[in-house]
Amino acid sequence: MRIESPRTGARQRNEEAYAALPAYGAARPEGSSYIMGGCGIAGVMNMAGEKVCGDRIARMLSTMSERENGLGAGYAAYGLFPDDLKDLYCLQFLFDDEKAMTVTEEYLKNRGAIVRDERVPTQRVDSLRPPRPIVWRYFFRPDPRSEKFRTKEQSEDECMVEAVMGINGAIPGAICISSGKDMAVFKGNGHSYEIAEHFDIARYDAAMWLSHSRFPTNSPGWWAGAHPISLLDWSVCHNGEITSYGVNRRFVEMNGYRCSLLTDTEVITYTWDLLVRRHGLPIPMAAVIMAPPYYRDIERLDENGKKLAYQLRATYKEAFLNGPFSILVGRSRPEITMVAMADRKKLRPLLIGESDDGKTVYAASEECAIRSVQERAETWEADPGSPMIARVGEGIVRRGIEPPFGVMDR
Amino acid sequence: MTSVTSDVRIMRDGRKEATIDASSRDPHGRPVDQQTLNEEIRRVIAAGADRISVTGVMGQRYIASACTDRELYIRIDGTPGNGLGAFLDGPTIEVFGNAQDMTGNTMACGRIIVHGNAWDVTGLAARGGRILIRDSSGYRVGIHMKEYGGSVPSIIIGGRVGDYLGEYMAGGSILVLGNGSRRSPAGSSIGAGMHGGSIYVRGPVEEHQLGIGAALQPLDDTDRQRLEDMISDFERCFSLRVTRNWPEYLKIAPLSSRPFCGHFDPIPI
Repeated sequence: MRIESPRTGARQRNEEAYAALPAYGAARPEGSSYIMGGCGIAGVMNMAGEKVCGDRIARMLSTMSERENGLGAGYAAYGLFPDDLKDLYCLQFLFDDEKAMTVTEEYLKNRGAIVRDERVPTQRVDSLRPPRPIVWRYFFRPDPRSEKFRTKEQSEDECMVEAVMGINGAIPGAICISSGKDMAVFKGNGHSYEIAEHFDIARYDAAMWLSHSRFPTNSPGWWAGAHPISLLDWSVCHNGEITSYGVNRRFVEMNGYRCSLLTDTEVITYTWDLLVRRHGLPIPMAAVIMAPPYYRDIERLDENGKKLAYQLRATYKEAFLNGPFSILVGRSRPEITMVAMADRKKLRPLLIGESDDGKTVYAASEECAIRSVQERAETWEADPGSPMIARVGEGIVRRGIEPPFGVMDR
Repeated sequence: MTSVTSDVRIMRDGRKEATIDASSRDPHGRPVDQQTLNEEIRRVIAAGADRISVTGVMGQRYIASACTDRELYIRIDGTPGNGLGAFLDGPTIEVFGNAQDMTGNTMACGRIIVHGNAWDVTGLAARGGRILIRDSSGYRVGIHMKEYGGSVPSIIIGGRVGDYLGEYMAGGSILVLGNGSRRSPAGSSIGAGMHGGSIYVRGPVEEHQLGIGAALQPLDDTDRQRLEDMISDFERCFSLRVTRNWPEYLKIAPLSSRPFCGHFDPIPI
């Protein structure tokens, strides 16, 4: 016999409850300081550099339907633009109105050249509640000699950080959701499958995808507050909460970042940019800073490791992310890279998977996200605070079970 | 809209066998809703099924939770979601695949057998029954396990486990065999805050891996009897052979009934 699912199922009730909640676009919800949540994360990378269709990541993410409540979902695609565009910064924006768009374009033209711009294709999804911001894409080349930049003679990356922080902090109704090279973020206030349909995510093929479905627990959802939270080519998908947010926020703000997205995840993105891009630290070392080993475990390292660990803890004590988290971190330069790690107590779920042909690496909150697209795979858990690192062209360079300073390249 | 299909057949010996196919997907590719699947499992149980086979499982949570029939056997093919067999009170669940987090949450009676891995917080707060995992498990396995009267929970892991094994344990037994592991079969903070029960690990465990209030202790005859019972059960379930070289087996047990006494405050109350 065949039983049709009752329309009064848990999912249906969730959807009804969700329809009753307030909705926000690119205008910041009032009265919110920042947002904490418990969510679903999923990532996939073809390490041979072949392309993965967007419907694959959407299927992974939406399989974990218990990990979202329709208040945010998003996808970051890496390695998706043709050769003539991939060396330009791709800025993707959410605009609430034409005015925000005009002001933003003026802002950009004063700081460089818009080489090309286009509407980011979207399709109407009836279940996705308004407001539905305009999503626009600019391929941009900053001009470091522009008088508008507060710092003179800075690198193009620094120009972009300054521009993005300026727009997100100062232009009402405009939010830059991604600003990297050869990458783009697609996100909004809805369920994972709605956002995938809204952006027709299956139209994109990318070497790496990161994704996030949101279950904010004590604040409203809004389009720009969905993950991935991105700056330059960094993007972060985060399940958990950063209880040391105040300290971390002051740390990144002292270094020129401006927190404007009402979410603790934002400081994680800026911390990665600060530690790895600006300070040039290798990824495993940045991981030790953000999720440091206990002092009792540091004591058991060799002399060199001990010295290094103490130095890192002392130098970067404000970058220690306290609280439960599992994160996926992506970047496109110098190579497309995926980092997956959990906090040092492993208080949030995270599973790594590798396809049986060794070509594809996965990371997700739950095993079912991996199995739904790759029946034959090996899955494992990385040690708490120990990053799994995979790179296009190189494969899995760190499985996450090595000692803190075991693999130390870049 | 997603659906499950099921079929109840009466076997020659009079037993009622049900098969449930949960492999359908909605237009977005999402698996069957956990509530739809669990309602169908309950429906076939109410119809008298004592053997249920569920195929195409993909992340649905709370499967067979709070089921009470001791004669009931449930076979699962696929990837059951979090909270498999939560509050289980009697049946046997056998999984062909990997289980996710919180398998056997607060189970009271019955058996959960996983032919694969079961990830974090397996057997949390179990108060009876047995969980057998062929391969590895994750963090906080057997946390808050307890026993009362004749109800003594046990967890047997074939591979390795992560940190906080048996944290705050109050009763029952955990055995970690460490098959295929080059590292210590358990992580750190083993038995932190435990005040009852026993943890057995086959393979090296160093002093620094032990949590507050836990200590390595020698095996006695009761331990060996208990190990023999758990090992032979494991061998039967998975058709595997396990060596009984007792010196390899380490026992971790509580130092006292008050593990944190004097730990945070130097003056014992």
